[in-house]
Amino acid sequence: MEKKFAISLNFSLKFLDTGSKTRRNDTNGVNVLNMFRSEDKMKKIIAIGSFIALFTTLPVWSQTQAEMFQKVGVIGDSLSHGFFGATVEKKTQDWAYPVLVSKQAGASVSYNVLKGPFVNLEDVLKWNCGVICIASAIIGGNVSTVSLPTHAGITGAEYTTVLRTSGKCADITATKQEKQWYWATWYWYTYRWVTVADCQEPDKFHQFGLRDAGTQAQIMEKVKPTFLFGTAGANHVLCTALHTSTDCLDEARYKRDIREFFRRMTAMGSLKGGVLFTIPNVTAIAYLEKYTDPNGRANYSGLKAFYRSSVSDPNQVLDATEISNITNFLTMLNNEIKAQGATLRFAVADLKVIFDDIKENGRPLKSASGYTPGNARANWPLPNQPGMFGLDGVHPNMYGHSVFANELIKSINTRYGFAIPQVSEYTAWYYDSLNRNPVDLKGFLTESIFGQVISWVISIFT
Amino acid sequence: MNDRNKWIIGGLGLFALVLITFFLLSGGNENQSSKTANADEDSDRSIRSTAKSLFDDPEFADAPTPEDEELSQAESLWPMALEKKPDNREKIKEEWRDFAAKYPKNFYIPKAMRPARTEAEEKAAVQALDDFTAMDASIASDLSKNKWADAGSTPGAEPKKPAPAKQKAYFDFKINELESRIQMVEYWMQNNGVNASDKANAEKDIKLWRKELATLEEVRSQVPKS
Repeated sequence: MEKKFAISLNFSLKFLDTGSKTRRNDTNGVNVLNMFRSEDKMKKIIAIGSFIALFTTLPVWSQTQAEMFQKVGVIGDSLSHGFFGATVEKKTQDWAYPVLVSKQAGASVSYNVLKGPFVNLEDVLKWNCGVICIASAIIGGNVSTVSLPTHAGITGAEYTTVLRTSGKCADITATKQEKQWYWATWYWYTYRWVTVADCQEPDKFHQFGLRDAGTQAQIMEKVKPTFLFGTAGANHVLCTALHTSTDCLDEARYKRDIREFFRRMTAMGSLKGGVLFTIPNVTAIAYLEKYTDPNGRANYSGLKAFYRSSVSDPNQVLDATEISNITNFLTMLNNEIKAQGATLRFAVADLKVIFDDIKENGRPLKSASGYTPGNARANWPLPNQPGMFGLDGVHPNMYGHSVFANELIKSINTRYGFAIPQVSEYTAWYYDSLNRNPVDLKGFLTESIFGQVISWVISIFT
Repeated sequence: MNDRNKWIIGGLGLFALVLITFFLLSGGNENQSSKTANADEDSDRSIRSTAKSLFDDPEFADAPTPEDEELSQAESLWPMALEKKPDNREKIKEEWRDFAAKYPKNFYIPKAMRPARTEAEEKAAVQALDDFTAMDASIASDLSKNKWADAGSTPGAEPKKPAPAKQKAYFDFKINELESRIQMVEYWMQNNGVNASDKANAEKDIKLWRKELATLEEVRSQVPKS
């Protein structure tokens, strides 16, 4: 891109240079009138030159975008997979941010289409999904498959699983000792211990999402993308919010695995560009709400899960110290993402900053004609209140993904000088069933299925 | 070539550029005329795609329908969202009624299909949700912490012993849910033309769940009474 721009600039400068030569000749000629005529001519030449330069440059720009998006690869987690309280299915996969951004950039991605596991809580609570539907969704499966998906983002993944979990094995590096009988000599049949692969079945999202194509990293190495959606950092820290505990934080593993992943991506040699994003503040998601202990105990006060009616143990809240530890971890995690982005010369969208702003001020939502239903909140939609999240309070809804996509598009356009068109956020909101018919979740907390949905969400992101 | 000829050639070149620009920007007369021809179709499409036609009593009912250009984008990005979903609510309620008649104590039966709860029962349900999710999150946290532990590493210290009643309530919830899940999947397999792949997956899952169920029942029996 920079090279093309340099060509265009150089072309214009040559015209400017021609003009300055003309001016020098005329100055030597002493004739003042001729000098004015020459300057007039020079201006015309510059104008035509600039015009031609602009036209000759435009196709080059678009070609560069086409080149960069020639083959799009996606790795990631529930955000890229399109997990939506609490399942993955065709419609939610289709509205996920990498699919939107790729389509807007004139490219496409392919993926195994899922029909579960688990359930779409919105459909259940709106009576669109009954016994048969819930049962089949819990089992899950594929609607359609591809032999080598270019979009390999999987719910529950993080950089460790990107490297180690395939559709067949939970950890492709795991080994075990096995007794092997053999002939030690021609007269002695005995045994020895050998190390063999220990392939345990992975979770269903990996089974149905990756099938027999390998791990996410292996898939990218086979796809050899020119453009990469490469963020899988959220689950290294989201676990703290879902478990109200900081036990799962592991800086050494995170750094080791993100670095190894990008080392392998660089070694492929196919990448021309990519996009990463920083992870929003997980302690500010709708899943958590403020709680103050009526007895004033500091370790019983802080942030609790939104569905919890009371706190009977310090483990059920994130207290001030834990929130501070998570904030520090998040800063480290995001700094690493920014550093990787800088090294690879990728676009990096600072979604941490953007979501902090949305949490504080909401997201402006306006039609082309100027109509507004009010700013959207970083929560699930409520009556008379647009919202960006699904009913688990963690994952974006259809409208939320359009916001996500636009922030990535802005970042890609800025980084590479493209003009990928934005997604109409108003249109996404207008057709978002959860926004147009909100579910007041607090009225359903004592539905038995709600407790199980929470259990699934918690278990997926361990 | 004299100056005049240069200017004529330059002018013609510029004219050609302007023409090309015009064609590129306008999409040509052909597209323009096809746009006109499709105007009626667009209008029908706009009517079909209003929130009122897609949703029952939508929030912000006065929100204007997206404009044609946005509608085209929606057709490309969110085709499924523009489809009117059939109203199956009565059919689904009937399905639940049939299922509830066979398995009246099943965990998954919606509140609306069960006998009304007393205030005390409702309070107990809230407490059960609190207790179950707390225990579940604590176990998940431990799993997460040790998920990538090196081979041969030892688990951490034994956790703080919970009140037996809370631990039993956790197992009760898990067992009730798992039994109910098996009933529901079996009901699905009996009442629906399940394809071979789904059937194989379901049978495999049921086998695993039964094993898990046996383990949970065994551990629950070890929980002291007080």
